[in-house]
Amino acid sequence: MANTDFLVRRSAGHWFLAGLLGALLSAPLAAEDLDLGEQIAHHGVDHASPCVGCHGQQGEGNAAASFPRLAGLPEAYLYDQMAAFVDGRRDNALMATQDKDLTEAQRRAVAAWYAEQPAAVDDMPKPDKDLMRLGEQLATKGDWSAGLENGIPACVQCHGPGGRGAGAAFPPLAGQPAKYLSGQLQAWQAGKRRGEPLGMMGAIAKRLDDRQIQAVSTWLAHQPVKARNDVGATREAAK
Amino acid sequence: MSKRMILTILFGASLVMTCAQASDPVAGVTPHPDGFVPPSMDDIPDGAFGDSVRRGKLIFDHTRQSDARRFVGNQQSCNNCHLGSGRVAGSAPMWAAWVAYPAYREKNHHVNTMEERLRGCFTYSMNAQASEAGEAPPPGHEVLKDLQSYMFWMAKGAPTGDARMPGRGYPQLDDPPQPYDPGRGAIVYAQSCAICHQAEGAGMTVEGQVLFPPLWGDGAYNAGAGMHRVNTAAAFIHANMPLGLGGTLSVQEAWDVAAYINSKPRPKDPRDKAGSSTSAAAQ
Repeated sequence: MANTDFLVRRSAGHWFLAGLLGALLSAPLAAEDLDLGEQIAHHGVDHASPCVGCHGQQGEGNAAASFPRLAGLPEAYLYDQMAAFVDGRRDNALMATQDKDLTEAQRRAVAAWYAEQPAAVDDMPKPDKDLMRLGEQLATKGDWSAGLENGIPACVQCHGPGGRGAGAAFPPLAGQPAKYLSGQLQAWQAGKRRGEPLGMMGAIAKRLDDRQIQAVSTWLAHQPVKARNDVGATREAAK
Repeated sequence: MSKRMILTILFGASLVMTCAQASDPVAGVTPHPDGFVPPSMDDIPDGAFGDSVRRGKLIFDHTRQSDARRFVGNQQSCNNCHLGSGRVAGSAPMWAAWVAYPAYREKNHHVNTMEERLRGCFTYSMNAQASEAGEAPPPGHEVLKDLQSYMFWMAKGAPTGDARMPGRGYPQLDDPPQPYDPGRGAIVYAQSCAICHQAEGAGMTVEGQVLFPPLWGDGAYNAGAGMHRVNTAAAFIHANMPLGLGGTLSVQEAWDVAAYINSKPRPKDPRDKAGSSTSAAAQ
């Protein structure tokens, strides 16, 4: 318990840097940067293959293969993930190879282009009802039955209403492939994804069992990426 | 073994799911015989009383979107300070509060009913003076009835009159090794709090919903709120924050960051007729 302070500090430091980068990135991007981003996404560059090969023509992802949607994700988050694949905070040999030769300007351009794309979702298989019910419960209410120190906060408490995201720190989860989401939770459990703010997801993922991971991933995968309207959002909040 | 760990073992494992629909048992959780277990959300009865309980829960979870919104003058919700719909031991649960009232309170030097206690929450923590109604719900108001229905229902089986139920309030926090220091607290805040509550304490609202409540400024609790006491805030923070990482800050860090947050400007204590915004941290 005493040693976790160190982890908190270190990951907070990581995040602080990412936040600084995010602030830099928030400057308006020139049209040619977006063009460069589209060019790389569609045609690749040097050793990097085209992103669209796995992430879909519009960045919608590939549910069957568990490749995540990139379209409409926060620019600073996307940029930081490319760095994370290269520096080992995310353990993914393919993505590390893809990203390691990209210059900072190229990464910025790719992140900016994907952030600009309208969020579209790949088709999902029909979900299991019981799994959806448990998933909704966990995602929207959490589970504090194990007490404060082992409780599971609701996903939407940080990732926004309906899991539709909240700033660059809390990316949207809604409409991501279930297999991608469960894969990430398992990666956090195994220490193969780390460096997120305060080590939050690592701590929370370790409290989830396999069925809870499956449930929460399935429910989030089936949520719309955009709020239907304000009334809908309020009604959802009042559930 | 620390006091906190013992508390966690005794009572942490004893709670039930904070759920409205799911009845799936939670793997590995065995209710401890010594800890109070509020009834399952599945067991809210049908009929007029059950409807009142459900309305009370709605008010508790989504105060600013509920029937109580006319009485909320800031961006706070009951469950910001009472996590898990007010059901979690160590997060000032409502089942423990219910059986402890009526009670004499030093804060206002008389015996308070639960209704008056709840009105105090609106007056201070929800800064009702700045609300549409301009005051806490008047005595007998439906909002107060529904909140009390929710609490009464939740406290089924709890010992009436027991003001020391294990899990009540926030766990007693040790004194800080060094006197608390807002300057050190600023560093803790930047490292561990700003990611959600933002660098300037303004919190974050997404799609019209307050995701992370403001900790100072107009949207925060006022200077008369319990959370404006450094010791209360430190105890809350140490056990409950960062969300999902309760217990990871040191005792010193919790005190320091509580002092920092409460050193910031916020709506004045309505009892303070002088009228200036208070910035001094109260002890």
